[in-house]
Amino acid sequence: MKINGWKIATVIAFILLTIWTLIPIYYSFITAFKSRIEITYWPPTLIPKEFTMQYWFIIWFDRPTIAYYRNTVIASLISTLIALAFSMPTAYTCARFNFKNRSDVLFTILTFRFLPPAAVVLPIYVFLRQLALIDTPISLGLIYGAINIPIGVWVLRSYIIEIPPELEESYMIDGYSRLRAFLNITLPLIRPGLVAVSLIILALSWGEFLFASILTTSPAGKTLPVGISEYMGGEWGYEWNKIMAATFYAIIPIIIAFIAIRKHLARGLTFGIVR
Amino acid sequence: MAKLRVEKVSKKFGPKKVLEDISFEVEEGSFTTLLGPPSAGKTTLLRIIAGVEHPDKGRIFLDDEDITDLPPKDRNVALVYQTFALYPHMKVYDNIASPLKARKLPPDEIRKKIEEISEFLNIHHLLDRYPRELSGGEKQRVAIARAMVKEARIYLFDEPLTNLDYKLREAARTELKRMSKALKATILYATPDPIDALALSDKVHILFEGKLLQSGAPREVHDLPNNLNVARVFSYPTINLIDADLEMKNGKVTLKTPFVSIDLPTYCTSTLAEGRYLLAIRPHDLHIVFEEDRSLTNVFKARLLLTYIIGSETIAHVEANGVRLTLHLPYIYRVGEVRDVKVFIDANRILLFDANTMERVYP
Amino acid sequence: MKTKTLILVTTLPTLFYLFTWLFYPFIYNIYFSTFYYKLARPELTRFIGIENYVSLFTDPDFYLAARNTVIFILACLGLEFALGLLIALCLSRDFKGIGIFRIFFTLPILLPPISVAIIWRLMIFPEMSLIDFITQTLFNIRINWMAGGFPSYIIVMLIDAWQWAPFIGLILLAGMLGLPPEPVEAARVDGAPPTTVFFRIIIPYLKPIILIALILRFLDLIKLFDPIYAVVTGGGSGIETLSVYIYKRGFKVLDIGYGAAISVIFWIVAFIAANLIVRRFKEYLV
Repeated sequence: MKINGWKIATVIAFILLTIWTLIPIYYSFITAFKSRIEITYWPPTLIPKEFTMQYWFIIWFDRPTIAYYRNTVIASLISTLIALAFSMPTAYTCARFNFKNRSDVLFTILTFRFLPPAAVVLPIYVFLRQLALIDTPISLGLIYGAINIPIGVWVLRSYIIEIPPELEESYMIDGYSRLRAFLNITLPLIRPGLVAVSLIILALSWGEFLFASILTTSPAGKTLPVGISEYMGGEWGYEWNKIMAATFYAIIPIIIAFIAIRKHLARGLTFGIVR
Repeated sequence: MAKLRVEKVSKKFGPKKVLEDISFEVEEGSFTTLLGPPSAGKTTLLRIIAGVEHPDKGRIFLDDEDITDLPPKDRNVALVYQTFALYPHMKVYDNIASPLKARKLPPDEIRKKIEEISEFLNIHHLLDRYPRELSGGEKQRVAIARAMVKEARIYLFDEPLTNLDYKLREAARTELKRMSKALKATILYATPDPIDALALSDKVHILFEGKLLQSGAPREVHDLPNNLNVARVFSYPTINLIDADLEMKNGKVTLKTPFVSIDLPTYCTSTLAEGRYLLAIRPHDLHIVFEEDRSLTNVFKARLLLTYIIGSETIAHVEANGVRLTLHLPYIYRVGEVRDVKVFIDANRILLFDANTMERVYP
Repeated sequence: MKTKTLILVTTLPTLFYLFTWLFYPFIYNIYFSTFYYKLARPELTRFIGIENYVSLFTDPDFYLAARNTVIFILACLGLEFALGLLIALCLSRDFKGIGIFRIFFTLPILLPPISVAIIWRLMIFPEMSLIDFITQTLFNIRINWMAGGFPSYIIVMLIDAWQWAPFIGLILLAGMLGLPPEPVEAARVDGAPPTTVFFRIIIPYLKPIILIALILRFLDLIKLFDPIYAVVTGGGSGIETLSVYIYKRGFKVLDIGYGAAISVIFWIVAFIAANLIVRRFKEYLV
């Protein structure tokens, strides 16, 4: 076999990249199995001397982790529903009809995606406080819904465009209204894309931190990212085994979703621009 | 069965005028063809009649009922798309059943109707399959079945044969003829192919760049096109166009071309003026002369450039004194060693067009 | 339903909802920024006009935050792109099992940014830092990565690159896989060395895709927050970006008036940047 310089370089690159990607994940994963003392060992151990499973269970009891999980789920679901409810009709109209201001509408929606949450969070905080809606996953869901509408509109539009309009027209000529054509023809045909967008929006809402940390104050409203980050400051700063266990409970669903929709990922994250 | 009246329909897409002031009628039970090249506006016109496109100006009447503002579902028309537009996620059976389900017919009746139509179109064995499993010809028949099962007031066909490979086209054309007779329906059929117009229809309307140029019985419009564009559209292969100069001397009218001179009847002295004209002759009105026949006039020498054989006919490209001509020979002609031939132009079949207005001036 | 009505009914509510959450607060910020307004002492609220802005523009921390934002945008983008290119090149290979690598290398993308930051925080936490162990073994030095200053900048960049280089890699990979094979093959047959093939043929083809990737990351980096938050909490400072600055000055001390002023400036800058970039590169987007 010819030994090619490029081949060697590629193999090295693969090895380095694998280590680079793997170490943070691996190290944090096994930290969740370490005992309280072993966390502080120097030098740090790559394989726990004592495998401890307890922290994977404890965190559900000595912390409001269940509440955090519940809130995260609620906020993410509401966010996805709202984002889809608003973006689906808009995506459909922007895909099918070539109206005068369509370009402006689409680009305005796009630019909203890039507004920093930090730049709007203070008034929202004041506003929600006055309405006593602080610290509820519902209000988080409402905001996340707004943030994710741009992705919904652009990506769904890119999927709808791929369905030939003649199919819908033919169905309408058969004797149905446009709404029925949308429900019975378009929707089934974009289903994989729809699922992918939903999971992406779910994942993005799931991991949001800034709004959540500012707009929630107690276990009644805090989401998983906030709850976990609380472990970081002050006296809890050293309980890395708990922190990591909690972190993995948070990211495992996302990893599963990721694997499920990986074929649609590039499209979903680039607003439908890259197929 | 209904009669269709299109009144002054116009449509623009942005700056482009796709349809300009189109008006015509389709009689009950007739098979009418809209003949025109691609982007003449045929598809847009059909879509407007079906209701999926709205005209900027004009009205559509079905049996004297103004349907222009009706949504497609209330019009009871059927449209067979060029791309067939079969629903990929439904089985063939459900595709065909779609218009019947829209009408909320009971399942038994639906089944009965589908059985009938699928037998008639010979697709009964395909009912349980999905569109992606079908061949082009099969898809087309399913699309037609879906249209026919509806018992619509008028059937619109948008170039149904264009997406079939040419071998199938002939057979499909015969099928369509058979179906249209059995259907006893009003049919409006859009096509760029003149053969469809001649073979299938009772009446033809020529559509060119958004304008309706001529209407009439297919043979008449074919033989006597009013306008150069009509002649071009209604001709396969492409009609031959030659610059010709008209001279009048001593009461004789002569048409002079680079390769032949043709005498026209004397009455032309009063209908035509001297000058430059466009002479048009169809490829199948040019013939190769094999035997010497002194009595034949209008014979000229030409050089064979290229021939190709289609089925049992031949298309021959020749050159005569710098002018390229196309011949359509109803037999197989193989080029031998000899490349010089004698070509006869049938003076009874020539058409003369004004070089500026493109209107027919003779006959 | 008439087409025009349908269009209005489907676009206006969406625009309205977006404006409510993402534009209306901007207006409110302008209003708040003209007040001395601390939530802990509401009774002291008074109108002070542009005084907040004056303080802002004379506050060295603000300029530090602005400078940091720019530094991070440029540095992170560069690192993400370089690493992302490497990832794309590796993943564009075709051998059995490449699928697993493609999943594995792109995994970081969808993870919650704060979780990624926490995972890295574990690795840099003083006195038990894995990275310190490596640096000590290799170079015999120990660095406090969380103390602010140069090391903290590096760590933030690493965290960002770890998560987002795969994003660029994914996009570039999608582009590479969609390339027509003929030009590359033709060049190879002609004997062009791999570097030439790469730079003269592949890169120009990928230009629109590269542009999209860079634009998306650029606009996202303006809001950079999570890694910095995770690195400096309980540690040093000096590396805050504008988002973190608003968090600290506006929220942590609940100084709404001042925070609003920063927010206004930030919002305007981000809005202008986003608009300019989107309009300038419109053709690539549709």
